Amino acid sequence: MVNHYVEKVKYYGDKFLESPAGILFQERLKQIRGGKKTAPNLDVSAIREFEGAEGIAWTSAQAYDIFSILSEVTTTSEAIASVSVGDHTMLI
Amino acid sequence: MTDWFSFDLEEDSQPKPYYWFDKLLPVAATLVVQWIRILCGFAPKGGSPFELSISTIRLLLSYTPTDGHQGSFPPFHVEDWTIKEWMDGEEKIEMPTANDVVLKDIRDEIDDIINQPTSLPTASVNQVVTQSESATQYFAESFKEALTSLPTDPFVPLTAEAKNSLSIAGIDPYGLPPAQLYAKELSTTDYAFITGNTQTKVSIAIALAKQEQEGWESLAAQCNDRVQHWKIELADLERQRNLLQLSREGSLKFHSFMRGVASDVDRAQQDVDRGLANPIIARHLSKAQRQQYPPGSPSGYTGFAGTTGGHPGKQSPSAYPSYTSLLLSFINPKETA
Repeated sequence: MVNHYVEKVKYYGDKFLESPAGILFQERLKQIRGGKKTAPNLDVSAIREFEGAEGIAWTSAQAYDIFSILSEVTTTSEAIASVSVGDHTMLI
Repeated sequence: MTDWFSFDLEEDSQPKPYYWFDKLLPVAATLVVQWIRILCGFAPKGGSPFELSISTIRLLLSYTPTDGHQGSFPPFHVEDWTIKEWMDGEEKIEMPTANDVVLKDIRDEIDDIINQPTSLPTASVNQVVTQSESATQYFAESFKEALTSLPTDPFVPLTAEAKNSLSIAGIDPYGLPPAQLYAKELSTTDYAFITGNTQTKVSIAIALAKQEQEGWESLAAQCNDRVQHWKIELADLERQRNLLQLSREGSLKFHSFMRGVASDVDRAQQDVDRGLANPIIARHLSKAQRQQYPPGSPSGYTGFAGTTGGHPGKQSPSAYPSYTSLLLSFINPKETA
């Protein structure tokens, strides 16, 4: 089970470093290394986009992909709910 | 994206007490961000960069718990287990059978008989004490008579000191101050056993032993009845099992027999089809058939089977052998002759 998470984390880490944002982020790190500047911040928004360079998609789909193995040990079911906008109500 | 959570994610905008998404997304982000930092050579303060290996990711997993939701959920922790280990690790609870319940009840009764302090019924205690006192009184009077019959008193008179000691020992116990003691409530049997003389003690002990013995005998009778009941059930089940076994074997034999008959029918049908493929034989056969079964006869043959393996329609079982032999006489005249 842990191997699943290991592979997923490894996959998204490598994918980011191969993206334009990841490449730019590594270049910035090389530039500041040895200097007194602080390293650029790396968070979720930087994963998506770093200084205008496109990163990787980071949405609920990726969260599901990482934890998809849980669906093998859990049972889920759909809950009926409704959305109301003004006078309109729609079941979802 | 799958349907696993889409309905959950796209639910209405009402605040919900808890979403799996809120709990797992920060964990996923933390894991990936931390791993990217490790890949880029970040190191903790005063430490060296981590080794880029799977074991480091495993370490990262174990150190990245989810936050509890308002303190109501424990942190998420990735166990180092396989799914098989998860399944095997669950406690297997076997449902007790009705017979297990019976055995448990008997076991409880045995424990009760062994461990529970018992007391005699009041009537039994009174009877035992009365009998013991009568026996004691009879013994005392007999002893006194024996002494008076002797020419001289065989006992040495008591000294004054001894008499004083005896007078202290003979103080009425009810006159003594109560001891500062908390003890279990004594039953009538216990009190009689403690305060009675040796004869009474022995009688009570024997009565208690008899009472327990009756309990054991009652339990043994129950066990015996239960064992007899189970033997009857077992015999009935074995009989049904044998019946099933016989039915299965009979069905298999019958199936084997049916297979042989079916093979014969298939071979005959192949002969019929082969013969019908010859127009001359088909014509002769039709003619012979009409002669043998004229139109309107009750068991009349109304037509040939299809030429591709179908069986003759509306044909009575008794008619089939004559029909087959008739056909065989056309196909293999030497064999049928």
